[in-house]
Amino acid sequence: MKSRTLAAPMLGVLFLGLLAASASADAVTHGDLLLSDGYVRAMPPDAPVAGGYVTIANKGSQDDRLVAARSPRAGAVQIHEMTMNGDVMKMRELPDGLPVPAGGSVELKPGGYHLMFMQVPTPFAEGETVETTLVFEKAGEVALPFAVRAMHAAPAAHQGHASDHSGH
Amino acid sequence: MSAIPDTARQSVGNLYRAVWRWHFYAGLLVLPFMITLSITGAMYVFRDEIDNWYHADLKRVQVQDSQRLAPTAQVASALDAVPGTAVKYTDPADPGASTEITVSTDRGKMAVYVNPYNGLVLGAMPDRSTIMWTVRTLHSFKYFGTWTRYLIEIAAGWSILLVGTGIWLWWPRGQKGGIVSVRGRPQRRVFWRDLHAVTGLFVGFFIVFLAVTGMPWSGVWGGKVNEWANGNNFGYPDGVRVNVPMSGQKLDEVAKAAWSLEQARIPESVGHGTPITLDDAVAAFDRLGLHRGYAVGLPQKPEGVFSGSVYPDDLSRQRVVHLDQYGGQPLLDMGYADYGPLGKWLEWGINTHMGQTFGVLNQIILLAACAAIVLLAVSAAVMWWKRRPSGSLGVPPLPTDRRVFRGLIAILAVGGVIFPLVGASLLVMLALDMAYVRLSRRNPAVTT
Ligand SMILES: [Cu+2]
Repeated sequence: MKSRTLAAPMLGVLFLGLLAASASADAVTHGDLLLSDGYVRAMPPDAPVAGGYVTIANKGSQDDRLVAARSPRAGAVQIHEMTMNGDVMKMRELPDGLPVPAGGSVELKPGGYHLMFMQVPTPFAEGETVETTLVFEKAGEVALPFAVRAMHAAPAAHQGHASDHSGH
Repeated sequence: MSAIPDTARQSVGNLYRAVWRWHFYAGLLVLPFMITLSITGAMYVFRDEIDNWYHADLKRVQVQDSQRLAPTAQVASALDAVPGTAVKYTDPADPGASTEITVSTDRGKMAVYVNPYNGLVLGAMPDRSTIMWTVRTLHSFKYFGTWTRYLIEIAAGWSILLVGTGIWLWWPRGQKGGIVSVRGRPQRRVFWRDLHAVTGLFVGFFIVFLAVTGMPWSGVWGGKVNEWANGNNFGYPDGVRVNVPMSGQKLDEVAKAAWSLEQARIPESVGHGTPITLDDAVAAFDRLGLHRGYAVGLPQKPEGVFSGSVYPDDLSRQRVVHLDQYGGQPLLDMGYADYGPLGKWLEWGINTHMGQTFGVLNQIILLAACAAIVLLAVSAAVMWWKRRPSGSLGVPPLPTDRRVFRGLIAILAVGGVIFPLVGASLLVMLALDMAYVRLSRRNPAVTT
């Protein structure tokens, strides 16, 4: 009896550990590009859209450009930019995509560049992974899993504002 | 000043001087207000047009054939971008408008704009910080603090005094011009005098109208009248609206209410159980026929209600509906037709003051009136400058017979009682004028 009562929480820990492992998607290398730390935020039940984030490093000597993205979990994925101008936050689609300079890297993160998963029929739930394909002008298509993280675990866009405000 | 005409002429001359003197004082006080009020007012009359243009990135979307997303989905999207508590949902007024969702955050309220067709957040900004909200707070002088609202109340009263004394001064006394025509060239003072008098004649009505209809917003007079008009829930006898339980929450805290509803109290939800969703509430407001662009105050506590309110250009479609957050049934449904006569008059005045009653014509007339008021102020300043003796304020001369002041003071006293703050300022001015006169007597160098 005693061992059994102990086993339950231990199983729980193990389970959580497995979840954590599956939720931290591995980095993907494709040609000169290194894509790492891809994640989306879990969606509240009614939410129609979700933000996606990833770091893209370009080890090569040629500039590249993220021009499109898609996912079987979303009707459309757009490349977005969030900007702050004083107290005003704006979000817009980048129609020409996002440049990834040679030898540099670009970070898609809350409060800045991001992917926007739209027309999502089944909300992303924490612990899942969302298969996503990024399309680059030169490197072509790269498929990588995006881990689904807790709703506001990552520094939210909102907190991005807050830091901007401190300068006022 | 040395020529002595016959007594009849002298008494007219005396009165003329007395009126002129007060017209001058009033003008001096009101001139800066007139200019700022006209400029901000002329802009604010076109608030929708200007806000929609200036904040097009946030307020406008591409019209799409697809259905709009459910309000709850749009709110969820807004909250994902700006975490906090949603307090208000504003229905897009036309197919090209975005949905505005007001979110209460730890840094104050934010207005989040959502594309209703795809749920994308277009952006966010502090609530009521659009360019036209700023112009509005400048127009009411709230921008500068509370006490400045008293100044504007005084300015409104003094501008009425300006029109009254101005028309008296304009009144034809046998001169051959300057009645509806302008004499002379800009180099001459008479040109500016005539320009001022003729413009004033045409615009005087609008100054009085705008001053009077603007008064309900003022700090002292407006506050009192507001309190009185709403003292009894718009003066409805008890029971007309059943015994709806009232919470302590005021409507103004939820949505920007029409002026006469500002102090009205909101009924509380009486039901218990599972609350209806925002989608249900919006469907109910649509079914009840609220004019597009209505705001929905979201219940913030167990006894709260869904408060739908809309104040469109068409006065008759002003409407406030409170839904029980559990049963979804209307607890209160009021429109313009339900206001008392005072409320109706006040709302009409306010609606017209804001350029809404007669559509584009209303806006254009007010724009023209504002331009004319600026012209009045400029011509007054030029006129004074041309007459001004060097090294003095250029106050018009004091009448030799001081009895003529009595009639004037009687008129001012009546106005001063109706508008106490204006009355108080008149007394201060009278005291200052007397002190000035005394000082001038003792020291003739100061005399004009
Ligand atoms: Cu976005």
